[in-house]
Amino acid sequence: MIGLEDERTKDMCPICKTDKYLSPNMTFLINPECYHKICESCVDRIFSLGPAPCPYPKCGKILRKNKFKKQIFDDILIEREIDIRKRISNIFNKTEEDFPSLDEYNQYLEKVENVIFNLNNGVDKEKTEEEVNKYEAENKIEILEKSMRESQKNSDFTKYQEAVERLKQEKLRIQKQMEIEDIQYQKQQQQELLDKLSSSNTANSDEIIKQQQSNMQKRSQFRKRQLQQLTSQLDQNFSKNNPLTKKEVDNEPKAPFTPFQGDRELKKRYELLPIPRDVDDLLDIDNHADETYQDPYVNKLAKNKEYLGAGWRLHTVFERALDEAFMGLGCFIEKEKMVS
Amino acid sequence: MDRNGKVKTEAEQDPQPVKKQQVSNDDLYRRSTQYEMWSYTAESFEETRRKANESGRKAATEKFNEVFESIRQKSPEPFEKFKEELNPEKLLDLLTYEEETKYLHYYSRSIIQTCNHFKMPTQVRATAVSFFKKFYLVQSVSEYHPKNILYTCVFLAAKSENYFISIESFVKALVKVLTKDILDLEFIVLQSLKFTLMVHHPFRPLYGFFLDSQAVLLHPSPLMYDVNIDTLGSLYDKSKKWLNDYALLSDVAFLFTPPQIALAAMYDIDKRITDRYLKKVFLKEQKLEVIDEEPKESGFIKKEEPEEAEGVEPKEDKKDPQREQYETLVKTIRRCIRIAKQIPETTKEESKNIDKKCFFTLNPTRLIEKRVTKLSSPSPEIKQEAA
Repeated sequence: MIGLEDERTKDMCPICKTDKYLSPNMTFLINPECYHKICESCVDRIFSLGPAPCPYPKCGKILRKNKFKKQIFDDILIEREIDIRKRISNIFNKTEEDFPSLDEYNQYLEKVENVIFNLNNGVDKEKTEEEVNKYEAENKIEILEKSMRESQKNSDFTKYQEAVERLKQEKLRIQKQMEIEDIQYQKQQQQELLDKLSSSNTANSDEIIKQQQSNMQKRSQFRKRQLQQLTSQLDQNFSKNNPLTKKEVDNEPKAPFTPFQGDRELKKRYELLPIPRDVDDLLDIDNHADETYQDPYVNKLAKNKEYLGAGWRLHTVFERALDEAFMGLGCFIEKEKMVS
Repeated sequence: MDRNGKVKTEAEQDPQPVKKQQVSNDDLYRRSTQYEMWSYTAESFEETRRKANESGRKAATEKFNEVFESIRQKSPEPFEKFKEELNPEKLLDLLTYEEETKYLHYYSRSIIQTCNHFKMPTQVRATAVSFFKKFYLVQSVSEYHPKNILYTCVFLAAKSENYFISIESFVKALVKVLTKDILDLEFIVLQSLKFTLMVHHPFRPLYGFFLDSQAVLLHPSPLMYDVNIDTLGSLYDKSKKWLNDYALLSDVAFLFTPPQIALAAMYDIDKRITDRYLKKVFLKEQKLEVIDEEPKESGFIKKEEPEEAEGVEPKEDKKDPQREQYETLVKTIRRCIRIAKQIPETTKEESKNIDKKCFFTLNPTRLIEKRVTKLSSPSPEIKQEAA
């Protein structure tokens, strides 16, 4: 039924012998009846008047124009399997929630896979086809209901995605607007500065420039904060109005993975003093020294910007040392090994 | 798209995982190779060493007899002539257990010198000594001469502690050692170590106690009038030195856990501060329990050590478990200090003697030949010595 084409004839329509090289706009279509490749113009020419047999020699299957489609996968076998899978999964469209236990769901999946395999590899094809038809006829209403539910879900999701996109656009717009305002403000300030300079004497000019600069800095910081506030407000509004975002937040973090078939020691033998964790606090560690552990050498390292940039943090050093201090403290070898 | 046939496994789905037993940090240490393979009671430790010495002597004797026979077959006359002097029992002088112990201590010291020569960090130094000692728990001096084993251990420790030195530059800095000597031994050492390269040293626990003692003794307000951050700092520095001087060279690493050794160091340097710290940490909830009276078992069993729970019925009515735990700990620490200070001193002459013995044990051919030439030569002086 399906022959592997030669490399040479790959880009050529076997019916009209048009070559892709000469007419680069031409596209190939296939029909899931027999998967023979025919160029678009040939399809138009042959099938526009209604169903006609496949023009390939010795094929002769009756094909319809509306069934023709573009080939997605290079390998025709995969293309066919995907088609079968699509059709079957539209019929067998139950989800996990429809089953009381995982076992039953797995059995169901197994059955579906068997059907797909049989159809794809031509094992008991007629019998399987019959079974599928029977199932479809029996469960018609259920299948319909299911697919409607599914499409509802999908449309919800697309709506959510659209909303996210809108939010993004809005943020961008605000940012741009603020930038334009800033530029205008800057120009205005510069003009004022020039005016001031020209009107005052030279001794004062340095001071004026300095003042100006500090003013500018203050303003830019203020603007930054403003922008942050606005965006966070938008975010809040968004998450309030959208049910889907809430779901993600509700997903509570599960118990951490531990490789020791149990939990790590939750009741530590020591109580940790407050250790600065933020970068700002770490840079300012000399002022907090009284509240935390004191080790001049390590505390000096904690301020090192290269280390900070690489993710090295003071508290990991302290926690590790403290953990190791109590790891094995209660193992009394003399006593424990004597028994064994 | 699990509809399309991704069969989920059951484990993935299990909604409520079975409640598993809690694993304490002590249990974690019990699962380390250091605890499982390289921790001994005092008795079994000595037994292991004696066994190593014994098997070494056995191997050395076999080797000697082989060489002795082959030399006798080659040139039988001197053996006929000096039947008295040239018999195996008289010639063979193997290292005794005590001598071997002394000898190894002598070499442990030189490991530290070697490491200092390369300016290696403490961690590497301690690991090298540990490797060396572990090697001679399995093997004997009578089979492997310590000199090259020592260098191999240092080289291996540098590698395993991430302080890599290339073999060329390592050998270049040493006298009369070839690349081959070290690389040939490397695998033998690894095998004797049973490929356990992770060594837990007391240095980081000591640092942890330094930090925790700050939290316990200085916060929220100083607990002792004369203790401040500087006293604790100097206690820490002195304890570090103690660990380098005593813990590294003695056998405590095989008999105690690293935190216990670290506490021993602190306890020996300043008993008052350390004891105060331990009391505060281990006896802190005592008052509360006295108030409740009621056997609030759930609270207290958790605090208890697992081995105590399953151990022999204690006379629990009088002692509360915290007190007991504290006392066991202090007892252990004291024992640790005592053992740490038992480092055999070896004079230079003694070690030279042992060195000679060791050399002949490893090279029986030289021993026999030397004896033969000594006996055969007519010089009266030497004859006297031989007799």
